[in-house]
Amino acid sequence: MVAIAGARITRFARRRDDTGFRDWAAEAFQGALSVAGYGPADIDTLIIAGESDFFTLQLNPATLLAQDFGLTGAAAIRVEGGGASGQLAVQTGAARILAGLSRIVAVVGVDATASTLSGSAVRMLYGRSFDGLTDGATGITASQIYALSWQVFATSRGLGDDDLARVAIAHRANACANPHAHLPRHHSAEEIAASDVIAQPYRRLHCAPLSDGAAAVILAATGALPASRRGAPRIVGMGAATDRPFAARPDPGQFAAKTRAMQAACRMADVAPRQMDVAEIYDPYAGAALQGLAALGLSERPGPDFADGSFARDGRLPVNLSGGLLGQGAAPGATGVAQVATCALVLEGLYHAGAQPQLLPQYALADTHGGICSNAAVTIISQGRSA
Amino acid sequence: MKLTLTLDYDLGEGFLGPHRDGLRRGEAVAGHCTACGRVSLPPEQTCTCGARAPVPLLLDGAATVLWRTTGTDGDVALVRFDGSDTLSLARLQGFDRQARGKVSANAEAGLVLEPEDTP
Repeated sequence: MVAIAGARITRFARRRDDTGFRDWAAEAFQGALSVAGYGPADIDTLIIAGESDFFTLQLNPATLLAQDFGLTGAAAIRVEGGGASGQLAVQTGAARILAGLSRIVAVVGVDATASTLSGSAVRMLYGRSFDGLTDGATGITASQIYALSWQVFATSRGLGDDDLARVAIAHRANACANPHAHLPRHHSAEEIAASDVIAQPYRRLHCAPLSDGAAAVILAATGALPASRRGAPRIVGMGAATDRPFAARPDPGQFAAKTRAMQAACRMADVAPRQMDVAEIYDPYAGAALQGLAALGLSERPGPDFADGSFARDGRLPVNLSGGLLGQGAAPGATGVAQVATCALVLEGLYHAGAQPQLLPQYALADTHGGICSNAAVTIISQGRSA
Repeated sequence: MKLTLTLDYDLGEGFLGPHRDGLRRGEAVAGHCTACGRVSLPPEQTCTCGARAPVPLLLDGAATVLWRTTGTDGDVALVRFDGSDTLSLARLQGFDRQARGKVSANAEAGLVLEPEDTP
């Protein structure tokens, strides 16, 4: 079994302090290493998640960061899967441990989408996350594709702008308890409705910000855990799956890859979706959170369930205590790692005081995808104390 | 550190070449699976039936707008071309409330629709 021996998430923000991705990555790595009780010489494998070299203008980042971290001699690998990069990197690290190829793995996700390029340049680059030769040439943006997918989903479920507003309000309010969040806000529905229309029905405040940030987890074979960390949370389920191009799917409103990934993760963990106690859901746009809750089998009626508080901090399944991408921010390589780190910290009772549930959960779910759920990754993490 | 990078790509178009050449001429060239008959636009290199290498098929270029989004990012729709088994993402140009469009020629070889009644 694989344990999460240490976790650390940096501030997500538009960094204007003359620091760079190497500084953020090092901050996350050193913090997670310290929690785990290891030194650099204990790390046999470094896995880096980063969505695009365009953001940092650094090819071969895994090698560079291994050198930065003082990990000479360790294996260094970079994992990429669009927005799912971070969580695919965690799963790659866990798989290496399960296969006996590694014993102690540092997984570091990092990206710079806010400070290094203009917003229009990043939007253009993100537009090439789908098919660069077709959608990219047409100049279609991620916001437009997500808006069309939401329209299909919302029409079939009778959902509308009120449902979108509830998600944006809730997740940004959750971010107010996360001192590292990019957009901690107490929005009103009127404020959201008055923000610019980016791609109808999505308005600016329905969309996650572009963020800079990093996150790290130290994964270890349970036999390699120091005595002080034997109760560290365990990764018990992992699933990943892809889907056809957005417009070629039988139902463009469904996140079928997420369903497949969740089913695989639940099979591995021998649990059902209803057993999840807390979840970090991928919400680059407000509607994507509701589409995700449905695809993951966490709700058959995501709109009404969200409205009745089922996914609130004190609900039956608290969702995005971190604020999610909408509130914590979106630094794509870091996102999936930060989700797993958040789950691990919550399971140990070590998350930010205002967001930490009083009763420690048994199972936490981290859900990420890339493209418009063209590549999905889902990880289930369990309490380590009884393991 | 300030740095401006200008990159001049020359990307091979491969199996998408006939489709993109068609768009430059204002034609909708789909992919036709010779194994199962499925028609995809843009062409899919591997069909849902598993067969590879679709052959180019010229459609009449007319499409129905099914879902549409407008805003600061522009005007884009999920459309179905007559004769295609898949939906397509297209940028709309000069649309008001029209539900039908036809392919417009453009040098970028993007999928751009103009209203069907445009002269």
